[in-house]
Parts: sequence; structure tokens; C-alpha cells
Amino acid sequence: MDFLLQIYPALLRGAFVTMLLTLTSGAAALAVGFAVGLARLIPSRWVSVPLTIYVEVFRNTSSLVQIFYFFFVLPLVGIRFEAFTTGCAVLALNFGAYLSEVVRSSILSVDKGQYHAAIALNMPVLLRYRRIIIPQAIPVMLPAFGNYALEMLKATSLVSLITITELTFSGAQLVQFYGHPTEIYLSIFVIYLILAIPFIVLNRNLEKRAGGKWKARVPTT
Amino acid sequence: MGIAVIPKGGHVLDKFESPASELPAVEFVDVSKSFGALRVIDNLSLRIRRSERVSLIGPSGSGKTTILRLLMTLEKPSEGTIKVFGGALSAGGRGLRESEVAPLRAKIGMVFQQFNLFPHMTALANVMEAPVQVLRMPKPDAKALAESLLERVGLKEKGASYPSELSGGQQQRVAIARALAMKPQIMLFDEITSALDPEVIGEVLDVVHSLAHETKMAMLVVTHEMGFARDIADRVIFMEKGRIVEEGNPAKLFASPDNIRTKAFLNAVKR
Ligand SMILES: Nc1ncnc2c1ncn2[C@@H]1O[C@H](COP(=O)(O)OP(=O)(O)OP(=O)(O)O)[C@@H](O)[C@H]1O
Ligand SMILES: [Mg+2]
Repeated sequence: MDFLLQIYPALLRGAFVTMLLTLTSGAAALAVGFAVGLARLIPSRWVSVPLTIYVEVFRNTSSLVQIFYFFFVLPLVGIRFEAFTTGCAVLALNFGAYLSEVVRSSILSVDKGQYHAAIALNMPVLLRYRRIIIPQAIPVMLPAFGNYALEMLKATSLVSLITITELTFSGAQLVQFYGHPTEIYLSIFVIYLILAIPFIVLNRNLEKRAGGKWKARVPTT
Repeated sequence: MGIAVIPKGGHVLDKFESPASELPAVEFVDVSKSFGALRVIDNLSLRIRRSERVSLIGPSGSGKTTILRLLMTLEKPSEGTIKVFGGALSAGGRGLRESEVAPLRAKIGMVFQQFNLFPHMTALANVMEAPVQVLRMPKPDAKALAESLLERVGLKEKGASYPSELSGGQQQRVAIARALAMKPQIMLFDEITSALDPEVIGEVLDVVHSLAHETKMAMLVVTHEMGFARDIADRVIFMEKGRIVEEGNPAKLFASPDNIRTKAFLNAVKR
């Protein structure tokens, strides 16, 4: 017990960095996901081909290798960022690729009749998306977003390998210094669970909301 | 196939030439539409006068919906020219620039078989949406307009309901109010009662009949309800395989059609 009191400030600091990483990378990933997901709907090869390549590269290679690549290889060609920035950027690009697919497929899932109605009311294309299509696509996206938020929390432990002292790395350092791996890793385990609680609660709510009263009662013919 | 006689070196008279005030509401000139190898509209020409009510009937797959969709710019013709009040929506099988098309499209409204109300907005918001967002009408004005239109379709007290809380007949009446809010001069109705339970079909058709009496909009009505097609129209067009087979006065066409294919179709739907 004394020992836990001794190490808990370090673990708390680690937990704080983990949360900060999750929220920063998450917000950036959301921005990337929306931008890429929407841009991929533009019917031009000049736009869609590069974006498709980006999405496939980031989805189909190891996240760990992506992190190493950005942290160790880019500086060799003179591109150098702080570890935290690098970690956030890679997580954002990685999750952005997945989220862009969620955004794209949710938008494509909106009934074609909604486009027809919007065109028949003479709505220009941006207005059509902003007022009609995207508001209906968002409830479809939310459950997936919630899941990816949890995944993001877990994925932040990867950036411990580029010297960011988040929760996992602070734990590893404590073990090196004091020993007691059982107590320390158990504490880390519990802290991750606690950090996950808000996301779990959020997910429950999002899943309940998805669809809901917005679901059109369209007769089947 | 008609043979055009063009005087050598002479002036080619456009057979549709007329002064601006008499320009037809809708004009299809030699319009074709193909989906892949399937020719859905086959070299079709059609004129609809201002304030004229036209019913379009024909077997399933004959291209009725496609004609409405071409006019609403939801499809582009493969060949031919479509004009609205003399302005070209598409020419030579190509769509035109949005800046040219939008003012013409503003004159057309459409009501769909599946209603296509915006499910995330109340009935009132559905009707207000386009006047506010597209016409930039001040919100209080748009609200007053939407309320009066909902009243007109008999849904005065349903403004706060979401589409999912309304019956099919009520949803379709909101959809009519929504289209009217843009003050179209041409209204397109595509089988607006086909998705409805029999007991609510009447309430929707009554609304269309009252619009026909109280407004001067041109109407192009696609329907499988032959009684409605006859009663609403100044002219009935029977089409098959993307072509007009016969057209004429509703009483005449329904009572004694000239064409045997029209006769066969009318006999088949009567049963
Ligand atoms: N987007 C499309 N792609 C391919 N084929 C299409 C498309 N839209 C329509 N068609 C085909 O064009 C033909 C005419 O369709 P259309 O919907 O205009 O017929 P319709 O007269 O309205 O029939 P119905 O009475 O069944 O509504 C049909 O054979 C249909 O399958
Ligand atoms: Mg049809």
C-alpha cells in the first residue's frame, strides 16, 4: 500500500498523458476522417485516387511500423517533430483512414430519395449535403465513432515506443526502477479500465440513439 | 419516322417557334434516354402548355417515371433537347451548367411515390427548408407560408410532428405542401398514391384535385389510378416502350381509344 502511494503520482501523470493523447489524436482523426470521407465522394480521379491510396496504405500496414517510420525515418530527410506531435499525427492519420470509411459509407447509406427530394427543391450541392444528407448520416456514424474512441485509448500505448511517457511507458519505467511488476502492471490495467468507462457509457448512449426518431417510416413496396 | 423537308438554302422554320408569352411550359424535342443498351425513352417529343394538366399512363417500364426524372434534372437525356418555358435544361444530349439550369429547375416541383420527406425535420421544417435555405426567405415569413400550406393540405395541427409520426397519407400531403412552398409553375406527380393504404388514397387525390381547381400550375401526373388520370387531365398520354402511342381528350381516350394497344392496356387495367 505504501508502495502504491509512492508510485501513484507517476501513474497519474501517465494517465493524464494517455488521456491527452486520446483526445488530441481523436479530434484530429475525426477532422481527417470527415475531410477524407467527404472528399472521396467527389467524382474525380485526381481526388479519389490519392485519397484511396492514403486510406489503403494506413489501413493495411502495421500501426507500430507507421509510428517508427514517422519518428525515425522522416528525421533522416530533415522532417523532425516532437515525439508527442509525431505520436498524435500518426494516430490521427491511422484512425482518420478508418473513420473516413465510416463517414463515406454512412453518407452512401442515406436513401437516394433524399437526394432526389433535395434536387427537386433546387438545393445546390453543398446545401444538399449540409442540411439533408450529413445530418442523417451522422447518427449512422456515431456507434462506430464510439468504438474507435475506445480503440484509440488502447492504441495510445503504442507511442510509448517513441519515448512518450504515457501510462504504459510510465509503468515500464517504474518497473525498471522499483521492480514489483505485478503490482504496477495491475494498477495500470485498472487505470486503463477506469479511463475506458466514459467511452463505454458514451457508446451505450450512442447505440441507443442511432436511428431513433429520425428513422423514416417509408412504406415498402 | 417523319421526313423533314428542308428548303435548299432557305430558312429552316422551327415548328415550335412562338412568342415568349406563349412559350410552352415543357418541351421535349426528339429526346432519347438509354441505360446501357436499354433505350427507355425513344425519340420522344412532347409539349405541355402553361396551366395544362396532362396524365401519363402506360404499362410498367414504359418510361413514365423517366420522363419526370428527365424534366426534374434527376437524369440527363442521351439525345435531344428539353426546354422549360423556352429555356434549355439540356441540349444535344448534354446537361447544361448548373447556373443555367437552376433558375429553370426552380419553376418545377415534384412529388414522389415514396414521399422522400426529410426524416430529421418536423413537417413544418420540411416545408420551410427550401424557402429559407434556397430562396433566403426570412424565417417568420417562411413559417407563415409553411403553416398556410399545411393548412391547405389539411394538416394544420401536424406541423410539429416528425414524418415517422405521420401516416403515409399525411406524409404525402406534407410532401405536396413542401413542393408548393417553392411556388412551382409545373408540378410533377409520380404515382403519389402507389405506396399508400387504400383508405388514405382519397385524401391525397382530393388535395391534388383542389390544387387543379385553385391554381394555374401545369401538372404532369403519372398514375395507375385510371379514374384519377381521367378526371384530373385536360389531355391523356398513353405511352409504351418509351414512345407515345396515343394521346387525346381524356373522355374520348378512355371511352373509345383509337389504338389497339391503348385498348388492350385499358382493358387489362380495368380487370
Ligand atoms: N437508373 C436506371 N438504370 C437502369 N435502368 C433503369 C434506370 N431507371 C429506369 N430504368 C429502366 O427503364 C425502364 C423504364 O423505367 P421507368 O421507371 O421510367 O418506367 P415506368 O413507366 O415509370 O414504370 P412503373 O410503372 O413500373 O413505375 C425500366 O425498364 C427500368 O428498369
Ligand atoms: Mg414509375
